[in-house]
Amino acid sequence: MSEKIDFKANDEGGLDQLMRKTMAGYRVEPRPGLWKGISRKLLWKEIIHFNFTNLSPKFWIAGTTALLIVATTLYIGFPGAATDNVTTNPVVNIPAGLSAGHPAATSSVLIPASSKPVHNENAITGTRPAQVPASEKPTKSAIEAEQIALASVSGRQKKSTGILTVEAESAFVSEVAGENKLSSTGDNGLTTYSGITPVKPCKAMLLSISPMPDTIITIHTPTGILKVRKTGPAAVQFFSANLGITPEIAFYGGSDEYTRTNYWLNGGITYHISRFSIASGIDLGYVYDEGKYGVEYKSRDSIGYFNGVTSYTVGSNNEIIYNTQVIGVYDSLQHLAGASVRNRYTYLQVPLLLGYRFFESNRISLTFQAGPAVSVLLGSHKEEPAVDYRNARIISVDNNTPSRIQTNWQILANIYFEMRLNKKLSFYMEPSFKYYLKPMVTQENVTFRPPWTIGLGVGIQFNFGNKKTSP
Amino acid sequence: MLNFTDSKICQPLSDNYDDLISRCLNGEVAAEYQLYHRIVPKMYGICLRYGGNETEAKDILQNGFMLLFRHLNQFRFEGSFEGWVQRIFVTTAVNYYRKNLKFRWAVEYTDSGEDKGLKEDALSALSTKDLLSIIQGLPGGCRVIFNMHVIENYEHKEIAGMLGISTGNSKSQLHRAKILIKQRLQEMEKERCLIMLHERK
Repeated sequence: MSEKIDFKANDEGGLDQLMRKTMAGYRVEPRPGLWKGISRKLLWKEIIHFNFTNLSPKFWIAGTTALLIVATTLYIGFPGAATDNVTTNPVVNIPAGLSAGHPAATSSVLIPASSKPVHNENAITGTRPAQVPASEKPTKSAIEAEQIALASVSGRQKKSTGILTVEAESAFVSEVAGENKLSSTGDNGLTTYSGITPVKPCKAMLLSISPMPDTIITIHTPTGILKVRKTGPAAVQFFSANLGITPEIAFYGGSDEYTRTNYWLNGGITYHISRFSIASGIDLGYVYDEGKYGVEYKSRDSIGYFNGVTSYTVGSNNEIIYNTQVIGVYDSLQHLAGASVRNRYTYLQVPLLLGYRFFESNRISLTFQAGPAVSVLLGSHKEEPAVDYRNARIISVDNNTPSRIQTNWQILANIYFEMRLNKKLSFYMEPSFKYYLKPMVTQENVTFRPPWTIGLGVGIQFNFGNKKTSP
Repeated sequence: MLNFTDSKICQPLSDNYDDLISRCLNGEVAAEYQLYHRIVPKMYGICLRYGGNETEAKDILQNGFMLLFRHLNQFRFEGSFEGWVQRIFVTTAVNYYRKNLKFRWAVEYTDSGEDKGLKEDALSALSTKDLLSIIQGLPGGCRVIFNMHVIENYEHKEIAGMLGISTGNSKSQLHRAKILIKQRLQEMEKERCLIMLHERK
């Protein structure tokens, strides 16, 4: 860098030549810390400029499947999705005798006593509301239907109020009371009646609340089957945060198949809307793997022995008796040995999971969650091989450990089991499955398969904020 | 128990760029570092020439490596890899100055006609470090054009195209750069003489 240059200023093109010859090959070693900044920027660029076109077909298959599952779930499971025509159906009035002040009104499904069972074409097609004239007296069968409906549903209601919509899959048939025959079914504990005439759904306004949104309660009446769907406080929205730990077993494939146990510290936040949820968070993972080293060394080893004569004596009959001793032969031999160490890695994982709560009771719920996750290698602690060969001279130690890939994408799926301890706090357990889209390690001339893991996460969930309901 | 330094246990540097590039394209971080380690001295030298100071040089270097690793898949494994990388870094430096010194390109330089000769041995006493400081002391536009034309052998047409200026502007900037360099050399010569006189006294 500080060498002197022999050049004349007034040579033809002297300055240009001097500059070109000196500066074209100019090399300076930058400070060592510079690479850290570049690698950090590269990592962020990779995350930001994540390109779907570079992904393997496996990702597309998994993504499409997940999308189809979500779409199907949305279509089937979303409240009111399959019953859009309900609003055009006849409205059954709340009876005057059973208002909100009535003891039964707050906790029961109300079937109007005044409503004459729908038996006309308008009611069936739902072209206009089937308001029954007040002058018409309810028939016996209609009253019975009301009472039975009350009895059937009241056992499933909670102490709160709300508006329910009733979809009746049959009309109330006014003149079938005499024909109804009582029969019972042991499966659901409800009493069923024969003599039912199925028609299109009709709608009723109810005062009741079910513990679960979207609950469909089937009411058996002497004249038909009522399906009650809670459409009032359907879309419950709230946030929850969870903190837990997930031990998982990772299955590494390729030329060398083995398993390892990893540990993840999970912190996440979930937004719930109705039965659906979207969850994300930060997981810190402790992953360990075996570091492999090839050690070449020379040692002084025994390669054989011979009987060396140490002395001899002449016997009485002039025979010569040799005294021998076993002498070992040693030589310097070159050895190649393997050494392994435990390398530890720290990963940061950010999942994005879509969930659907497919089961819920007062205390417990089960949610299926699936989605992509990205994991980034934050740091690594590589052990040095402990090479301790006596009388050996180490020639070389080669590191044969495959390199870890900095960023990896995974498909994650789990069943989130939540047990509510109180309004704010829950205990959760989630068996999970994770499939990496590319191998976690790479090495020249060695093929690795993407690993997959199964884990069991446990922790606590905090529900915070009021559960907002859509009107 | 033996202690091994990193240099003993790390894999040896590959002699072939093709192999390194392939490994980089597979996302191997170790290979990226090896590639960086091999080319960084030369590229940092380029960045120091184009940058006015060390901070700017580091910025250009970082941007250059970002660009390199992002477009590494575009290397066709034909010709010199170092030459290809060098072009990337020159382009990065040019873009850096286009962003930061855009307004200066519009100023046409008028030749003052001042071109004093230098003593025969004016350059012979210079070190590489001195030359670098002279180049770094040039105004941004002049410095970029001087580097491109004199050291990288770009034609004025190419320079004009890359910088978005006229060919005349490129020529005048170069002329100005040379005059400034000569002035600086004269100053340095004077300083050297003064120091020598002082030492004799």
